[in-house]
Amino acid sequence: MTSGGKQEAEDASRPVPPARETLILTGNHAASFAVKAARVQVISAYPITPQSPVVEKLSEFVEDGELKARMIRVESEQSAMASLISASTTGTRVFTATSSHGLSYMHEQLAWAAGTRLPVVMCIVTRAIGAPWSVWPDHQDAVSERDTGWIQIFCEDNQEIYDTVLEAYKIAEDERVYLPVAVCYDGYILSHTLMPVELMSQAEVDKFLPPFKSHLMLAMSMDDPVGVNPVTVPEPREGFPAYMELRHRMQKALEGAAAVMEEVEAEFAKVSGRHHGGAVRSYRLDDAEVALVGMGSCSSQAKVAIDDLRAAGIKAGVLTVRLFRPFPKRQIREVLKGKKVVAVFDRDVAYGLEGALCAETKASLYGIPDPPYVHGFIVGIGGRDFTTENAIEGTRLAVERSRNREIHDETTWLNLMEGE
Amino acid sequence: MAIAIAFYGRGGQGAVTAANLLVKAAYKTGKFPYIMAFPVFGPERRGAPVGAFARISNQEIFDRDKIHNPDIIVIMDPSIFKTANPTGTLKKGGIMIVNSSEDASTLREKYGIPSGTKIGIVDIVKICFEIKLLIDDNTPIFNTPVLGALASVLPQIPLDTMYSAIKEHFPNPRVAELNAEGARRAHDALVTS
Amino acid sequence: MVNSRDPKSTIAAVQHPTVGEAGKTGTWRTFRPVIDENKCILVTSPKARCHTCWMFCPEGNISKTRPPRVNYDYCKGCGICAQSCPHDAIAMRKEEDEP
Repeated sequence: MTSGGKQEAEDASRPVPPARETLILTGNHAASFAVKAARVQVISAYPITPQSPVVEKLSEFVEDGELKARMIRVESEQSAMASLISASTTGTRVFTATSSHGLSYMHEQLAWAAGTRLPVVMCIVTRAIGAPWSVWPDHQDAVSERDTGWIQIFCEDNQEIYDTVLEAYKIAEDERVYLPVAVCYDGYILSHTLMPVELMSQAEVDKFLPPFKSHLMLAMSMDDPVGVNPVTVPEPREGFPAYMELRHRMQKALEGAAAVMEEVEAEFAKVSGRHHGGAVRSYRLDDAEVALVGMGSCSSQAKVAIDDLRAAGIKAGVLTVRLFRPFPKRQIREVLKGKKVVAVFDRDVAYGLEGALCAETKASLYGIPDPPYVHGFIVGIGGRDFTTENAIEGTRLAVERSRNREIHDETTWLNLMEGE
Repeated sequence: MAIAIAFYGRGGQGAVTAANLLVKAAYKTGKFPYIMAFPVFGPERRGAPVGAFARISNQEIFDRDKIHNPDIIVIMDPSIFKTANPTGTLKKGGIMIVNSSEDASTLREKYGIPSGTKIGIVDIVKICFEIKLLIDDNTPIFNTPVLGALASVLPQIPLDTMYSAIKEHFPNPRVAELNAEGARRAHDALVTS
Repeated sequence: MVNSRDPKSTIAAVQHPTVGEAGKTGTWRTFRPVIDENKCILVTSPKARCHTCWMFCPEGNISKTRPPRVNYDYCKGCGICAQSCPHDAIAMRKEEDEP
């Protein structure tokens, strides 16, 4: 994937890769193939729409002997994550996938995985959260887990899903990070859509992703057992960090994770020839005055609007936020400084405030001289179509309101039914 | 060059498989390095109206919305016209491919297809019974013949490439051959007006 | 390199169990268990098997010996051993009454 928004790898003289294969895969199966290539050892999951095909494919791989992994059958997502926490603690590479209510049900365990600094990798096939019932895509499930300490990366196409799962293990297992990573992609829009995906050879993946070493090293010695996660008292004892210090260290690791991700991407690009831009990805932004900002399906769809916007005299480009946690404040500030208008399209709502991405984009720009005018839009909730026309409408409205730097405390929703 | 194709039929008639095989064939030609195929999102039921969609392009596809104005509409079951007639969504200059035993003027009159809109008609049911492309000796298979009909309106995807996508899909060579024959017959039988 | 024994580099709460990891908890005691060797069946009958007190002690502070011995450095005086003894051989005595 070398044209359009994808940035070409710096190293153009890479050797011809051995035994690469391109398959036409759904987003879910792209994730499964990446998990197989990563030689994951323990998989535990509970079925939920639209995630289920990820683990169904993996169970086929295990059944056929293509992947030597233990599948743990559990009765809930809470148990899925709990069992992976134990497995990861002993130094095995683990995987799960879930969506929506399954993710919400995992919430408590998500915090434990992060707090224990375990490199668990999970696919979040994003879907709306009830009530009322909806099996359709938006980003509410993933965004609602943003404060658990997980790294969250959003994908725009199936190749990016495959590549990001491999990168996720490398980032999670980096000793400067040691944090769980969620690879998020739109339910149905990617999960059930076929696209070409170039698979790397097993030799290439093995070289990129050597076996991982647990920082807890429990698997190393049965003669020296340790207890993990005892009660930590409010004050440090005998020079050892207490709860507050450990949480401080987790936050520091998150703050440094964006830089590690960019390193990992550069290394991945050398092997694969594909570079997805690191924490953020720009599309026709260099000469742009107006930036459309989004994640996953939103930023992808926004790119379709750029030709029309430019033809109408609005010099626009798109900023894709790949890394949602840790939020890439510096990268966003660098790309957006000097722009006149920023239109943020959120497929989620931080209920009672505004779109989460919009709020955080604004926060990232706080304090810079002459900041761009930022306006947020709520789109595509519960699988509602987010169209090119919606992107154009939002951008025009943002440009119009920027003229008087209007402040709107209320949110603006696009593509609602008439009269709403 | 980007082409969007919408397939409408009933659950079990293979609209989803048709869309999937079409993009695989398109990719094989080398002219369409960017492809996507997707069903109508959500639960599916045998017999209920279903849709499947394909985009094929020589440039990266950023669209993540539904297909609102397809270049080609494939009607796998004419009863779809009565539940949700998609005629109005066809792009100007596009073509509708209809599986029907009726002629163009009858279809135009019954379902309000404007005279300016190109129609391609093929009687897939007849072909299936002729060559015994049937499930349980009584249920015609629509998806592979539809690919043959598409090959005749999409010169960028030759019939041979459709064959190879079909053959990859069916591991049993006898079944693959029969499906390829269905595609060939539908290709030859398509009448456009 | 992350090392759970190094306070500077450790990143998770890891406990290395040792005797007295949480200090000498025996100082909490109000009553102490005292074993009467004249009543303890392990002493009175050399072939008998019992060690009920050893099994019930929640702190693992009673030795599996004849007679059993209580480690008063860590015994909190909960009295479970005295309650569980089938031969009434353990008495709970007030700390200040003991030498």
